[in-house]
Amino acid sequence: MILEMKNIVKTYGKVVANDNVSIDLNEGEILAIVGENGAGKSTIMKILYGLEKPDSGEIFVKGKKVSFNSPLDAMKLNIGMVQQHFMLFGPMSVTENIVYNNEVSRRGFFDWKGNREKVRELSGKYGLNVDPDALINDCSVGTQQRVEILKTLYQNADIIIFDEPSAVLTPGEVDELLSTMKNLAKAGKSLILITHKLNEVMEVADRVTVMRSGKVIGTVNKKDTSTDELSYMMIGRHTSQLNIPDMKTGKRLLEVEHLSMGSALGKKVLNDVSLHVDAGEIVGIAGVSGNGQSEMIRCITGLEKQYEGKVLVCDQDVSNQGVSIIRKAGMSHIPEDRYLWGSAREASLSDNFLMGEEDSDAFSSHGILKQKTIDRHADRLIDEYAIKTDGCRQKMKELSGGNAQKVITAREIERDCPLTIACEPTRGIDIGAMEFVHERLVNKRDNGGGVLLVSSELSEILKLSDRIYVMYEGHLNYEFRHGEVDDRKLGRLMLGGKADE
Amino acid sequence: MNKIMNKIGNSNILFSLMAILAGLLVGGVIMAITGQNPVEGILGLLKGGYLTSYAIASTLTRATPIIFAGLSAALAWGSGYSSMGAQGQMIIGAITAAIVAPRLGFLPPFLAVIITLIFSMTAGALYSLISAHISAKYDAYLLIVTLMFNYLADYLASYLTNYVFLDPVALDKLAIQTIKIEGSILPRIFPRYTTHYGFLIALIAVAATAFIINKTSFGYKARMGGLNAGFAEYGGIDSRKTMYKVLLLSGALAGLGGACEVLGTKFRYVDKMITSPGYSWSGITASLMSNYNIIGVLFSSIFLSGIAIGGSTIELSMNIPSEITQIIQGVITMLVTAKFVIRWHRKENGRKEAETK
Repeated sequence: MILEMKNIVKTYGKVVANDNVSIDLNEGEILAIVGENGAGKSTIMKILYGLEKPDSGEIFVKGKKVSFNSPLDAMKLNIGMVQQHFMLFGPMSVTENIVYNNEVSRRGFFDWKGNREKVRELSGKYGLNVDPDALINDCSVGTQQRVEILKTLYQNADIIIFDEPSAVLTPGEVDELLSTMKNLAKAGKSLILITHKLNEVMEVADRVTVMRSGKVIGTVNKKDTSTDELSYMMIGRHTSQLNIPDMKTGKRLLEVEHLSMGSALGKKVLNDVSLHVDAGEIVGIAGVSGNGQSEMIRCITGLEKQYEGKVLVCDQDVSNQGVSIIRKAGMSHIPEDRYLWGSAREASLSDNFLMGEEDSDAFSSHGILKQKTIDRHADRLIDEYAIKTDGCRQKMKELSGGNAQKVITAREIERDCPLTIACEPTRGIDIGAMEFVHERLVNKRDNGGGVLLVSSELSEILKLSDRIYVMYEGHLNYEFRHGEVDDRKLGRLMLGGKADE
Repeated sequence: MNKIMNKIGNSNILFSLMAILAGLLVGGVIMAITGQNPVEGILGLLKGGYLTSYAIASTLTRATPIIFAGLSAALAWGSGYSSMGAQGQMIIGAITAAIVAPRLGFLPPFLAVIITLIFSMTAGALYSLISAHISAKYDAYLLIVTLMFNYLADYLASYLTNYVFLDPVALDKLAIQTIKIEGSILPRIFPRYTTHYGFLIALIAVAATAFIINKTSFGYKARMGGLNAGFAEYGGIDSRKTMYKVLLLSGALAGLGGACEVLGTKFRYVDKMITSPGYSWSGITASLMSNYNIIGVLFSSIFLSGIAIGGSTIELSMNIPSEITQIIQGVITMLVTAKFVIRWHRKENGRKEAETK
C-alpha cells in the first residue's frame, strides 16, 4: 500500500466537507474517486496535495506517517497533481514549463540543450508526445494537459492525482488520456482519478471509491460493479428513466439554409450547412468539438454576422442580424462558455438572471428596473433548479462551476420563447441536476417548443434528440431519427467515417 | 499570506485603505528622514485636512470638482469605456460657463445659473461625444483619443481667453482670465466658509448617477457591458448605443463640474484653472479607489481633497514641504493604479480570448 488516508475530517464553518474519510491506494493501480459536485472529492485531494489541512485524521505515505503544510511537501513525497485548470506559463515553451523550478543550468545559464533532452527522454519513456519548443499558447488543450502530466513526472511523482481531467478534452483526446493513464499505471505509477464520468471509470479504474455528502459510501472493485450500481451509490437513488413521449412536430421554429463561413486563412469553417428545428422536437448536433459547431451557433444566435446563407427564426428572416433582433424573434440561447458569454462573474445572480429581459415590461417600466420582481424571479429559479447560494444578491463568481451553469441554463430554458439553442447545457453539473435539466428540455418540447442541442456528451444527444445531425469539418453529413443510430456508429461518423462501413 | 493578499486584492475598500496607510507610512518615513516629527506631521496633516470646521469647508470646496471628475470617470470606466476625457470636458464646461454667465445678467441670478449649468453640461456632453464618435468610427483607442482631446480643450480655452474674451480691466496685466461674473454665481452655503452650492449640486449628481447606474435598465446595460462585454453582447445589448449614452452622460457630469468651479470659486475662467490643480487626475484616482462605485467616489474624492488641503496646512504651520504630501498622494495613486493596470490587462486579454474563440 503506497498511500493511506485514515479518518480524515475537514469542516468549513458549519459545512462538513469530509466526514471520517478513509482512502487507500495500492502501488501501480488506478483508483477512481467518484461523487457528485460537493461530495467532498476535491477536498480530500486538496488535503492530500497539501492545499488544505485536515481538522483530524492521519496520512501515511509508503507506510510512514506524514503531514503537509504546502504542495511543496507533497511534491517532496513524490505526490503530483494534474489540475483541472492548468497551471502553465502561456507565453513560454513546453520545455521551460516542464523543467520550471528544477532546470538544468550551465554556468548559471538556462541550458536549452540539456533541458530539451530531458523533456524528450521523459516524453519518449511514457509515450507522451509533445514538441519541446512549442509555446504553450499554441498548444491544444490536450497537449497542455500532457505537459501538465510530464511536469509531475519530471518532479518524480509516484502518486499522480488527476482532477476531472477529461472535462476540457475532446472525445479523441479523452481516449488518448485514458490510454496514457493505463500506461503510467503499467510503468508502476499509482494514480487517483477524480471524476463523475462513470464510463471513464469503467474503462481505466482498478478500484472505485464512491463519495456522497462528505462520506465514503463504499469502495468496490471495478470488475465487480456496473455504472448502474455506481450511480446508485453516488446519488443514493436510481436514476429515473426519462419518459419522452412521441410528439407530432408543428410549425417550423428554426430554418438554416446554406450557411457558409470562411476563416481568416481562407478555409471554410462552415460549408453549406442546412438544418431545421420544428415545434415539438429536440434536434441534436453530434460532432467532435472544433468541427464548426461553435461557429454555426454564433451565426444562428447573432454573435457572428459575417456569413453567407439564410437564418429564419419563427418565419422571420434574421440573417446577418444582431442578437437582440433574433432574441425578440423567439430564441433563447445557452452559450457554450459560461464565463466568456454566459454571465458576468462580478454581478449578482439577480443581474445575471435579468440579462436579455432588462427592457421587457415584466421587469422594467419607463426604463426603471422593478428590482423586487427581478429578485423574486431570481429566487424562483434558484429554488426550482436547486442552485446552492446564499441568495440572489450573491455574486456569480462565488458559485461553483456547476451552480453557475445552472443559473445560465435556468435563465434560458425558462425564458418565454419557443426556441432554445442549448450548448453544453449540463457541462459540469451533477447527475441529479442534469436529470432535472433534461426534464425541463423535454418539457419545453412537449409544450410545443423546440430545442437545438449541441453537446460533447454523446449520451446526452442520443437520449434526448428526436433527430440527430452529424457535423464534420463544417458540414452536416448525416441525419438520423431517434433510435436509428447508436453511439459507436455516431462516434465513427463524427470522425469522418462512412455510414456503411 | 497568499490568502491575505488575495483577500486584499478582492476587497476594494480594504485595498484602498491599505494604499492610504502605505502612503501615510511612506510620508511619515520621509518626514523622519528630513528631520521632521512624523507623528506630529501626519496628525497635523489629518487635522488640517479633516478635523476643524475651516479644514472641512476647504476640503469640501476642493472636493467639489474632483467629485464631478470622479463621477464622470467612474461612469465611463465602470461601463467598460476607458475615457480619460474628464479634464477636457471640464475645461469646456468651465469656459462655456465663463462665456455664458456674464451675458445673462438681465435674468434673475437663480435662473441665470441654471441656464449656465445647462449650457456647460451640454458643451461637456457634446465634447465627449466627438471623441466617442471618432473612437467608434475609426476604431481608435478611446483612451488615446480622449487624452488628446484634453490638450485640444486646454489650448482652445487658452485661445478663447487670450484673444476673444480676455478681461480688459484685470488689475494684473499678466493674468489670462475672462471678465468677472457678477450676480449669477453659486453663493457660499455659510458666509464664513468657502464651500459653495456647487457641493450640493455634486451631492445631487452623485445620487442621480447612482440611481441611473443601479436602478435603470440603461444603467444595467452599462454595468453589464463594463463587467463582461461578451455577456452584454450575448444578451443583445447594443454596445455602440450604450457607449454613446454613457460617454454623453460622463461628459455632461464633467462639464457640470467645470461650470461649478467657475460659478462657485473663481467667478471667471482663469487659464489652466482646471489643469494645474489636477482635478481630473484626482477624480480618476478617486474613481479607481472606489472601484467605480458611485457612492464611493464621493468619499474618496473628499479624502483626496483633504490630503491636499492638510498638506498645504502643514506646509504653512510646520514648514513641512508640500512635496511630502505629493509623495503621499503619489504612493496612493501608484498603488491604486497598479491594481487598475493589472485589471485592464486582464480585461484586454479576456477580450482577445473572446475574439479568437
